This record gives sequence, structure tokens and C-alpha cells, in this order.
Amino acid sequence: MLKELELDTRELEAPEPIDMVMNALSQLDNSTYIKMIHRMEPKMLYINLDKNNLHYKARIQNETVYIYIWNDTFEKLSLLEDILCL
Amino acid sequence: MFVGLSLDQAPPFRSPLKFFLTAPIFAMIAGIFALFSQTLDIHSSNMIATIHLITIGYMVMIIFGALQQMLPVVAGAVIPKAKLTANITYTSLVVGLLAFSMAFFMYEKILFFTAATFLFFALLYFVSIALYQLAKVANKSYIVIGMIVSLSFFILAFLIGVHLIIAHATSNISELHYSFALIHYHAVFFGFIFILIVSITFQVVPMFWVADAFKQIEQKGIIISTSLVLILYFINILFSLGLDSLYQVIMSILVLYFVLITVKKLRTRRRKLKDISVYFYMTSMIFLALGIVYWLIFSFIELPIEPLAILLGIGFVVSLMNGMLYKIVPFLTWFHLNSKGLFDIPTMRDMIPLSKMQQQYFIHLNSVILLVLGFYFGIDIIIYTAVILFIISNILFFINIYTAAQVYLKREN
Repeated sequence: MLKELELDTRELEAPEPIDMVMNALSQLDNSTYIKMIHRMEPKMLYINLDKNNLHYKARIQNETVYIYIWNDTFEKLSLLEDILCL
Repeated sequence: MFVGLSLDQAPPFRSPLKFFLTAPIFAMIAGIFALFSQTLDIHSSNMIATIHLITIGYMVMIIFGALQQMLPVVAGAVIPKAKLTANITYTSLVVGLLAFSMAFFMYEKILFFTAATFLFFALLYFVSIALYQLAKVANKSYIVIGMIVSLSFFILAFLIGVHLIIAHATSNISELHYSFALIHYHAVFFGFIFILIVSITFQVVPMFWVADAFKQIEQKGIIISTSLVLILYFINILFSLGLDSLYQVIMSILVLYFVLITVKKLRTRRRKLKDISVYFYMTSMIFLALGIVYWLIFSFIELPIEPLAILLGIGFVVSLMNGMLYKIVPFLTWFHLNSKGLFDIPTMRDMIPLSKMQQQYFIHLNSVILLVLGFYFGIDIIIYTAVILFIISNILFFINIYTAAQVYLKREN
């Protein structure tokens, strides 16, 4: 089953959003991905996701940024791709 | 397993920090120069030295430090060989500024030459590197475009400044000398400083104060319009088209629009915790608005020019940089502690005591108000009192940001 870990960081000031996501990364597994909701594109987070060999996709809708994060063990990529319309 | 934030693309802790800690020291030296000045005439040598110690020693020092820290956050870009670049830039700036100050004190030509050489190298060297890194960013946001435009105007202003100095030194004053001087002033203030502050504001206001993000149309509107209006103004000057008043009105509308939307975002921010950096930002916006209105009136009625310089230079720029550093330095500390994988990191709010920042804010605010009033009414005792307050404010500012830096320095090993 696909598990979504939603982190709504829109009401948090820097550096709390990046801190929250980095702390949640350990919960990623073969069926869990993170959906981060933010007011702006977190460029520094992207650098750190790359560094940790994690995958991500960002979508911007109505000035809100949705970032989906998963790791190499994630087995439900096709289901996630449907959500992301990749 | 995750062990902390990656430092791969962040500058070493001390690289931007030394720029931030040195800035208030040069502001203090500027204040001391003003105190011992024989005259408060803006064209006197001591006052020229004072002005450049603030513009280069304080403002440029902070801008260069902030750019090192902001590039990864804003653009995912970074200054290559960060430590080496920072050391070369910093050393050249400090040597140049010290030679510059001593040159005005001792009137030695060799010191003027040394100052010009080191400052020329430091400014052009760092700006060229930053500009190149920004130009390489793949998907450029309006914030990145704004920074590129701003640094481009800086290079234009800088080259014209060099031309003006050479013209003075060789007594080769052409008919276009005054026009070039006007282009220089406007390129520095509106092109470089204003557009850079606008771009950074679009990033930091939503980021640090949980305010709504600036809309794309707002970002594009202000950055592109300001740039175009400025370029048209330069054409207007060079070809004597007589459109100066129109330029002033349009530029004022753009600046006031920026003030309006920034104040609105800050007032409607979601987390309304007491925050001295917000006080500084709001104060800065108010002084920018007052300065622009004064600038408009100034072109129709004969008024002293010094209050305009104080409103825009100290009231707007210094206040804003002051407030921004109360966020940037704690963020720098937090980031580097986090990268070490430490879990008991204090929050950014706990790094500098609120009461200390508040005390410094009120001293700064009083110094700006007294400087404006003192220069407007031409009362020396008020000006000297304001200058003393300005020096005290910068001593406290130094102590406060050093307090935040110490949180990291104590745990470094």
C-alpha cells in the first residue's frame, strides 16, 4: 500500500521546514514517500536531497509548491507517477 | 542514514561571518571620522571618507557576505573555492578601506593609489565571480534575474566611477562629466542597491517571517520596470531629452509600490511573534518611502541634500541590513551546527537576547531621526549627538551578532 507522509510547512519560518523534512527522511521506505507543501521552492533542500541520493519532484500550483520525495527502495513508483502525472 | 545538512555547497562558517562582523566596525570608524570632522559639509574630505566608509565598509561588506550565503538558498549556486575567494575579497577590501581612511587623514597620494587599487580589485573580483555563478543558473527565477541585473548595474556604476576619478585626477572634465556623475549615482542607488534589496526581499520576507510569497507578476513588474526606467533615464541624460521629472515620478511610483506590498506582506504575516528584525524592516520601508517623497519635493523646492542621503542611506539601507543580519547570522549558526548532526541546537530566536536587539534598535532609530533633523535644521549639536548614538548602535550591533556566532564557535570542535 502506498503511504504518504504529508509535511505542511507553509506556516513555518526558516529553518523549520528543511529541519522537519530532513528529520522525516528516515521514515522513507519501499512504500512511503514524503509530500512537502511549502510557500516557496526550497533550493537548499534540493541540494541536500541530491547529496543523500534521494529522488524528488516539485510541482507548483497556485503559488504553492508541492515536493514529493522518495528513496531508492521505493517500489510504488508507478502509483506515485500517476499522482504526479509524470 | 542522514547525519546533517550538507555543507558541500555552503560557504565555510567564517567566510561570510567576517564580512558581517567587520561591517559595524567600519560604521564605527565612519562615525569617529564624522565626529572629528572640522566641518559637516558633505563635500569636505572627512565627510567624503565617512560616506565611503559606510557605503563600502558597511554596505558592500554586508552585501558580499550575504551574497555568499544567499546564492545556495536563492539559486542553488555557490561561490567556487568559497574560503579562498572570501579571503582574497575580504583582505583586499579591508586593506583598501584602511588605506582610504588614512589617505583622507594624511593626504598621501600613495595611500589614495593603494586604496583605489585594492578596492578596484576587491569589488570587480567578487562581483564578477558572483555574476558568473548566477548567469549559469538553469531556470532563472525573477529573484536570480534581479540579482544579475543589480550586479550588472554595479559594474556599470563602478566603471563610470573609475572614469570620474580619472577625469578629476587629470583635470580633464568633459561636457558629459555631470551626466556621467548622475548616471553613477542612479546606477548605484536604484540599479545596484534598490534592485538587489528588492530581489533579496522577495526571498527573505516569505522565508523568515512566514509571509505570503510575492506574486510572480509583482516580482517581474518591479525588477523589469525599474531596470527599464533606469536605462531610459540614462538615455534621457545622455541625449538631454528633458524627461527628468517623468523619470522621477515613475521611479517614485515603483519604489512606493514596493514599499506598499512589502509592508502589507509583513503586516499580514502568519506568525506575529515579536521580532526586532521586523521592526528594522518596517522602519527601513518607512524611511525609503519618506526618502522618495523628499526626493520628489527636492526637485521642486530648494531643500538641503543631506537629509535625503540620511533617509535613504542610513534610514533605508542600514536599517534593512541591520534587521536582515539578525536573521542571517543566527541562520548561518543554525545551519552549520545542524550540519554537524547536533540535536540540541538552540532555535534562531534564542541566539540573540530580544532585549539586546530591542535596545540597539531604539538607539539606531533615534540616531537616524536626529541625523535627519540635525542636518535639515543645520544644528551641529544634534548631528554630533546622533553620530554618537550611531557609534553606540554599531558597537551593540557587533556584540549582538557576535553573540549569535559564538553559539557555533563554542561548539565548533
